[in-house]
Amino acid sequence: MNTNETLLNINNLSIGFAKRGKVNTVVDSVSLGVKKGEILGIVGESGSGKSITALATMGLLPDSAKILSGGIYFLGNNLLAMKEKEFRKLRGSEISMVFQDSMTSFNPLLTVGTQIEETLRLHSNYVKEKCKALTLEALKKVGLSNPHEIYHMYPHQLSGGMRQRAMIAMAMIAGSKLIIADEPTTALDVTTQDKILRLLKKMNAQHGTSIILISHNLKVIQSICTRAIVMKDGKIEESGTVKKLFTHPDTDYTKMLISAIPMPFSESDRKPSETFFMGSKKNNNANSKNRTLPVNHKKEQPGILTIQNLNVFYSEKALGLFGKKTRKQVIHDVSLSVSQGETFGIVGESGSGKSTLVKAIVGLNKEIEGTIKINDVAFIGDASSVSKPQMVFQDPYGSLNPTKKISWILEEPLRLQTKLSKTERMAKVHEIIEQVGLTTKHLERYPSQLSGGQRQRVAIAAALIVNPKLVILDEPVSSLDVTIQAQILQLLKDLQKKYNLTYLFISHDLNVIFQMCDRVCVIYKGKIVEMKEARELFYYPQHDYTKELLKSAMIQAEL
Amino acid sequence: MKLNRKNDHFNYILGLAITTFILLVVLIGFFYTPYDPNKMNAALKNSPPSLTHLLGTDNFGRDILSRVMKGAGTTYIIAVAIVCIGASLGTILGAFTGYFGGWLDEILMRVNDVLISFPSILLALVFVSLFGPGSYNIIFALGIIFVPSFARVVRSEFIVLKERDFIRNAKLMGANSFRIMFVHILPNIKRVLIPSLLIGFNNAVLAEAGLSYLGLGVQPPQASLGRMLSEAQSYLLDSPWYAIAPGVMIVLTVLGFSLISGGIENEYE
Amino acid sequence: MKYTVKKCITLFLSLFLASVLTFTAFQIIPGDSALNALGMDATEEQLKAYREHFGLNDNLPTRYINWLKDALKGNFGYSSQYQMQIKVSTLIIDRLTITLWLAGLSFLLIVVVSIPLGILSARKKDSILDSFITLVTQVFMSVPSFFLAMILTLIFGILLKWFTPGNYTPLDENFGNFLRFMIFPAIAVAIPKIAMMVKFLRSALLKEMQLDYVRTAKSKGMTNIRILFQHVLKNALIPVITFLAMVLADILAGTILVEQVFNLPGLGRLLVASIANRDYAVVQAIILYIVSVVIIINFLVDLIYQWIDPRLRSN
Repeated sequence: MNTNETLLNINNLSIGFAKRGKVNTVVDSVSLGVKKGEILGIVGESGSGKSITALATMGLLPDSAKILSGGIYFLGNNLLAMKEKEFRKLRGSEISMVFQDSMTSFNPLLTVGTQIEETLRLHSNYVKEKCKALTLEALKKVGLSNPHEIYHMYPHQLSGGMRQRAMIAMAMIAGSKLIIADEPTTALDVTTQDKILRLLKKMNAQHGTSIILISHNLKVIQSICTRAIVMKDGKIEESGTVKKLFTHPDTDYTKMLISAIPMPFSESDRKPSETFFMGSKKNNNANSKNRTLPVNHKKEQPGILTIQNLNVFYSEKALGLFGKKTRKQVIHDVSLSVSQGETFGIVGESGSGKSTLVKAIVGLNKEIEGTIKINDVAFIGDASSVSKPQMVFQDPYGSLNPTKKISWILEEPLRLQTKLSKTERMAKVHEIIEQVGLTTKHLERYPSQLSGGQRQRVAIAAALIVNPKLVILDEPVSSLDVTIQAQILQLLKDLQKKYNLTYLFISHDLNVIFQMCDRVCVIYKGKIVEMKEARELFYYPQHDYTKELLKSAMIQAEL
Repeated sequence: MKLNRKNDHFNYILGLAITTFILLVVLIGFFYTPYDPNKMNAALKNSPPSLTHLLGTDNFGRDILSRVMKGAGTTYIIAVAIVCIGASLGTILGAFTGYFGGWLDEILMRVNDVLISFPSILLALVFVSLFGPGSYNIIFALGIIFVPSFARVVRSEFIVLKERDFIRNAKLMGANSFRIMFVHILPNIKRVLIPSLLIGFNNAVLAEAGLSYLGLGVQPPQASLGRMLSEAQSYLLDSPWYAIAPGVMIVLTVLGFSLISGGIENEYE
Repeated sequence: MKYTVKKCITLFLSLFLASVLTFTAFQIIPGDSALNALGMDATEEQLKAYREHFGLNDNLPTRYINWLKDALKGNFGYSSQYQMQIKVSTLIIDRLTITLWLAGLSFLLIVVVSIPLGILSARKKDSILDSFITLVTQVFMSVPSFFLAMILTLIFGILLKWFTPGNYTPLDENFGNFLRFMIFPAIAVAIPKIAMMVKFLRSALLKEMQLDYVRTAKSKGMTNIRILFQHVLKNALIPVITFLAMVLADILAGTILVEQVFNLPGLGRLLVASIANRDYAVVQAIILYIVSVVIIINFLVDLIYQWIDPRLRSN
């Protein structure tokens, strides 16, 4: 490698955490290089070691972390062998970092301007006026149109996107050659994400700044990186140009991430290899001539849930003793119906109102106008079914009571909603635990002793144990790793078939929606903007917002 | 880092050791003391610690060790009673206001904030001046006075926990509010409540000692550590051990429980 | 602005509420104040005259308003333990100086000693020094202030003879000797509070240092010391000020006990004596005074918050 071109060279780096005498390796013989003017992506799920590698490069590892072996070379100098005093000179002026959460990464008590200027003051001898002038210039460069105002503002007064731009300004103002951006767009909504990524690309083009972009989101990596490495469990799975990685991945793990398909379904009315994303362009071309779509031939089923002209309001608590209560309308005139045995998807970003809609349906939010009806339908085989919809929540760590055993958690829905005796209840508990793929051993454990995937199975069991008419699943797999997601989705599909369950499936993850749902509706700012059969929505979106959403999730050849 | 863990662990064990020792002494004291704590012996007035009287005698010739054993027992019972009253009422109050919120919660919270900022001894003095001194009065007074701090702790836990998914789930499954508050939520506040109970006990011991010292708490001839200290004050020059014994007993009690409480908090960190 | 106005309203409401409660409590419960004041031998005539004179036959609201009117003028009536010869206000003002000096010296000691110790303890986290400080603070937090006062008397008064126990020099007689005496009760009050402050400050600082913005500051190349003083300290100040306010209120209580040990003619001793003598006019006035001080301190603390934390300024 031409050393003139290489900016950063990480060589066989291994990092571990010492815990009670044992050493836990979190980064295992990682090697990578960043050339001048390059944008390198690091992809990986949580626990892959990508952030730790970044922190090591900055010299910001927590005290409990130990460098086990290897070196980090910046412009030829070994950072790990450097004295702290020397290293400090590099931080902020040669190598900078942009963090994920811009709100907490700023000091809430100091103005934005002061904090950006700080970088300059640490690494230069400029006078106050010059520092201020350069700060204003930097703010302008990152696309903030009113730098003078922003200079005097406090972090909490800016929007998420503006704050992130300010953080980028703070990282670049001293002319850093390398910027490490750790999930810089994860906390932002789709449209702002795009703008920030473009900004980073501009900085790279205009100033020749190298960037290491870390993300779990493939679309983000694909949008501006030229090369990328894939990390898993502290090791590098694969590396190469973005083009190659996305069109001809070598390892199975990479293939899995890229295709965004969990694992092939065993029985599905969709072909196993048909993913929405890879196939979309091809399918679009193929179907342009033949516009007949395969239609779901489900028998006419009775309606389970009917919502008509629903408006949902949310009253904010009065601020203090003298504040006024503010009443906002969150859901506007929503109508939809769900038939038995169907999986109805609700797609929306955070802030779209989907959680409020769900709360209204289950009865947790009573400030509504309009009708929500859950129809009394005879259930296959079992007379004792419950008409209240049951819910499965997103966070497996918050949806089970940590102080109760699994058997108690599964018994509680029966205790509250049926009149069965203790023996009858326990019988059902033993039955359902096997249905969701766990054993009776698990009944005696506490939630903290189960993994995320296992907890979600328990949550599903708790929802299904009362034979509900309707099951509402609110982002049920969003917090799980990709491999586990596949298992859970498969479980849901199997159970649905077995018991003719009706699902209301809420997610922001379009791929999951595509895999699971028969019909889908898109919610934007509290209104339904589009509602159709899943395939039709995905291949022939009508509404602009739907198109935006699909575009942002699709992997394209170039930005 | 290793030093930190060893250190915390050491503190915790030390706390357990001290507390066990003290509790044993006091427990024994309920059934047996070397001498009758109230028996006066003019001949042995103000004698220093010796083999026959391990902690010496007071100005009436009474055995200090026996008095300390009995006195500590009285102090502890009073402190436990105070904590029971404060914690149970406080938990109920905190649970209701934290779970239901509303304007009642707003008002009570303000009142609570104001009450907490007052030193408990002051409020106890007000009470005593109105209703008179005595053990039962200070148990009642301090018990009520401790309610706000327990209520606040419980309330903030309930406010956070009621938003958790598993509680939402219980609600939509039709559990009534009482069941949610006391069967679903309450077991989850153990982590926070137990240190509060220990700290409450410590504060109760100190408060009782202070009040009895001022003559407003436990009345003679009943012994309590605070009372002994006030009696000992006049004899500081002649027989300092008279004051040191009960004082050290208080210190050891409070120290023991603090170390344990700190150890428990560290366990959960 | 809205924040300040709200806090002012709360202030006046609290003061009002406190006065109503204090007044009501001491009027309703303590039995017949005429009997208390004049003693058991008083004749029916004398009792009647007393009640007339002091408006005890009026209803509660009227009595409250009259009392309040007088109180705002500084008139709290006469002290019964001094046979109604001395005004309550005179008594209080007499004793106030000592108590204020005691409280002031203690507070000064607390601030001056605990802040550097707290910062040191946080900076040298997990070192032997830190462990030592932690253990020592634990011990001192367990010592009741009046016991500590006795130990100080024992060591410095009796053994070392640095001061004469129970014999303080009045302020106007000899300021030097006055201070030399007062320093010991001040230490007795201060030490348990210093221990609490050090522990609290250490934990507050350590908590702040875990936050994200500290990592950002480090990533810009700041030294740890600079981060501590330019970023962390200011943020940690917010919980610390709350704590200090509580400590200040506690000091007022601590002085009550310590004054007994050192035989100081302060407000605390007066309070205890008045309770024993059923001199309710005095008790009422002192309680009202202390309660008002605590309320005002909290109000000032709220104002300081707004000054420090910009998130409270904009809505």
